[in-house]
Amino acid sequence: MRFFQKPIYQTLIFIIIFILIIFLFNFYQKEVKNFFYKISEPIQNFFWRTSQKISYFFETISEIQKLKKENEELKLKVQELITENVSLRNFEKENEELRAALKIGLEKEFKLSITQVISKDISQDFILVNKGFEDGLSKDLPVITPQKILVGKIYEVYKNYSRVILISSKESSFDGKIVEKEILGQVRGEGNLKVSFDLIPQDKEVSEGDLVETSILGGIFPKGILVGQINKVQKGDVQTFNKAEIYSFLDLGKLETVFVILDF
Amino acid sequence: MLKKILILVLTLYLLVLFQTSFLISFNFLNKIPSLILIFVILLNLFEEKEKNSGIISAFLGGFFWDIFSTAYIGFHIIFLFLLAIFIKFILKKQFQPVIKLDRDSKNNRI
Repeated sequence: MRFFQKPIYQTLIFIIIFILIIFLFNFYQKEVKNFFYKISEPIQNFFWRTSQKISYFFETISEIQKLKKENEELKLKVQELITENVSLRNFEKENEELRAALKIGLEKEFKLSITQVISKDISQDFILVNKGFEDGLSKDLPVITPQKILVGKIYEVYKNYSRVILISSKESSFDGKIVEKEILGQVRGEGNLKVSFDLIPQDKEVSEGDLVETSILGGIFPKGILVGQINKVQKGDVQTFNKAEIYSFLDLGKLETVFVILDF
Repeated sequence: MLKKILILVLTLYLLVLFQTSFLISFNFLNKIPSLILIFVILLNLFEEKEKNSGIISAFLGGFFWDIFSTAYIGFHIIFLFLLAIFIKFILKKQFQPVIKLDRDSKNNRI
């Protein structure tokens, strides 16, 4: 019995028993584990349900923050898309206008620069376009619509912008001609978007509905650009020249894109 | 002694259940800490040198860890047992001079 009382042997016996138990447990591993799972089930269920509730609570909080962030990102994206949409619409409009201009054959006749109207000063008969001397624009260059209707000419040039004087401005006057009739006259701005055709020789017959276009005389504008339509002819017995009101085809309310003729 | 072992069994059993059924649900925790391992390390570090609760807890903790994991029974028992022995060994080596010094100082006082 003394043999078992020595600590070294006690340890040895303990290790042998331990190895045997481990071996036995592994031999019946499934049964042992199943037993423990079975007795632990109620406690595990309790822990599991509690943890699910707590986890759900925290997940909801984290989800709210995530949704908030996602919402912010989506708002930004919507804004980006709106901007992109506006830009695409502008391109579409520009494209349509270019197509219209191509139909008329403007690009073959003139060297053009497409510009956008960014402000209108109707009371002074001026408009501001978004190109300036950096884009090759210079003073007195003619400005027309895509439909080849005369708008005016460049009055002032800035670095990136230009001010265009409309043909209806009191400062504007140039030579014009009745289409298909060799009747020359002077197109004068009357202010407030009104234009007149003056200095019509009395012996020449001008009637309402006649179209007025630019003439090569004076060299301000290229010839053949439509100005407007004769609206009302004023004939005077004493005057040597007749005068007529011109109904301008220019619709400033819809004027957004104009062409600057760089070379003619 | 038996009471101490019973308390250890209960504590380690509950710890392993808490770890496997409670902490596992928290997906935001990428890694779940092993409570058994922490408990065994802390007990071995802070228990008195002469006591053997650390070694017993290594056996029991390893056993429960093995039961509730896919490992063979014995794998974590051996791992924790060796860890407990290592901690005891290190502590014994580190604090021996301090203890001696304390005893000497006590003797001197007397």
